[in-house]
Amino acid sequence: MAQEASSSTSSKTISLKTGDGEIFEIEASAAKQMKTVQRLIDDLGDDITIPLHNVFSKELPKIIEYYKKDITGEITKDFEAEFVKDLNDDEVKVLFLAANYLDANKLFEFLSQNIADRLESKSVEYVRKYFGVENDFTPEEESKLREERAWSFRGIKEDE
Amino acid sequence: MMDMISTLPDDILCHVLSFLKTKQAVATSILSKRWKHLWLSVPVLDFSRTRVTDQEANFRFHDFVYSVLLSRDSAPPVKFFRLYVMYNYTQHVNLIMPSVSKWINFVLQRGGLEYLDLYMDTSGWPTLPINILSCTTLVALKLCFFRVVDHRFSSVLLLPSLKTLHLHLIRFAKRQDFMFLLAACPNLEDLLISALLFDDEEDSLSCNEWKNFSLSNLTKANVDSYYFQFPMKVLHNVQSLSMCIAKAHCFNDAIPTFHNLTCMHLESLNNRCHFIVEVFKHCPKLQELYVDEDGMNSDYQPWTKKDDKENWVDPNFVPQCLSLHLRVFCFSSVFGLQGELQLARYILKNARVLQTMRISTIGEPEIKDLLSSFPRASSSCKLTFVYLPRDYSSESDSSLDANETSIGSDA
Repeated sequence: MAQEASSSTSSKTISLKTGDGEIFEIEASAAKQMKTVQRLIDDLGDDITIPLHNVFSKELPKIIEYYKKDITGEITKDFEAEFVKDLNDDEVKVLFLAANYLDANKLFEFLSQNIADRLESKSVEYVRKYFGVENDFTPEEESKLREERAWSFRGIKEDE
Repeated sequence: MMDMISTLPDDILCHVLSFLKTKQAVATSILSKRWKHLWLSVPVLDFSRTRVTDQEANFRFHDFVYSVLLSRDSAPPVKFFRLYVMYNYTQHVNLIMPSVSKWINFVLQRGGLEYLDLYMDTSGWPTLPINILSCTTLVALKLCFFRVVDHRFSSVLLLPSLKTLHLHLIRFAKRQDFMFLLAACPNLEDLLISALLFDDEEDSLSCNEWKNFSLSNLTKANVDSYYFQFPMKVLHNVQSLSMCIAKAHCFNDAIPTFHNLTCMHLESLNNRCHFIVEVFKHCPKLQELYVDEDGMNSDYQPWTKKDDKENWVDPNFVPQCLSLHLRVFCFSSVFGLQGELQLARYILKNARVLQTMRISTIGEPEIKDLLSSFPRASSSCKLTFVYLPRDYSSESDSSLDANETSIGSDA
């Protein structure tokens, strides 16, 4: 590793407390990548444990893992593929929401792409459930729309 | 927690939609009333990897694109437009291009286009709609399989925002036209050219107006100069360069010094190992060098021992990059010819900060022992061998059938 000019944040760690009360450590340089965390640090100081009400102990370690790789410049396509390989669609959704809350841009972009890839040829009903959408079309309205956009629906899974 | 997703604002949902192909994005209009018009706010039109099976399917596809564009008439402008269409039947270009030109014009007229990626696999060369080349907002342009010809050509070119230009299978009338295009992109950072063709074979690049032309903001270039001799001077500021060298190329004139070049990929070296010394001499800051021999002799046959003609002579002085900068050297498709072995020996002997030398051989596995025995200037150099038997297909992944052994001191 190259010699870095020592600064007060170069090896500083920040404590983060999840919504379910667990505490995790993160390097200050990684915390900088999460704008929400950085804003809280700016307001509360970096010696205090930062509370993250909407992020929980299941997903925060995974997010920390991602940004650990990011600060060493090691995020590659292979790493990202491996990162989501064993996650199901709901687990990715939880991470996505957390990345959005934390304003962690790089992870957010990557997970947006991953969600889009996963939803690509899923059925309409699946996508509705995924986004928590209530169908407020009448059957007539829906079938008219389907007809107008027939080309869009070729190759998409039929609802079960 | 699951309920949170339904409280996401429109712009976040649109952001996810922007990663979908347009076909899927439009399909979301059916999810609910809230979603009916969300896709219209997505500034991305991606009709990529559309496979058209027959004439009927083609009509439907054209209808779809027209209806998408018309629906977006009062929507925010399109920033990203990708059209990549393959035809399973013979589709003549004259039946496709009028519509495609209309679509492109529609998008260009709204303004704000930043990314354009086009490929239509028709029979017959599509003519590039020339107004693309005067789009002042365009940041990235990727074109495959087009003919660039228009009598207004050099007066119309203006791409001041363009940072990325990738051209594959592009046919120009003259070499001059290609140079005019480059000259219209003063802020270009990333250039890829592959399989450029010219109707007029006469070399018109020797005239003085191109003598001092260079792309000073260019940091990355990938140049397949198999079909024509690319004026290297244009690239002299790059940090990263990939080149494919034609077998009959003449390198003696006008190789500039690449002051910023730290990473180079060379293909089709074809046992002209002394060329690598020229590379070292002209790239004083080189850190990583990847060379692929390609294993074909001048008759396009795989090598045999008869091709072993190169008489290597160590240069009089050691190039600066070898003493001070070279960290990685990867040499692929090595057969075991004298020139190859001498080059590897020379690098091991002089590269003082070398960390990795990786040799991928299609010939004798015995060279492993020979190379391991050569003296090394860098004590932390790790020597790795990958042995790929001769009958491997050149298309295959080098990680298949490879017996990898690692030799050398680990730092």
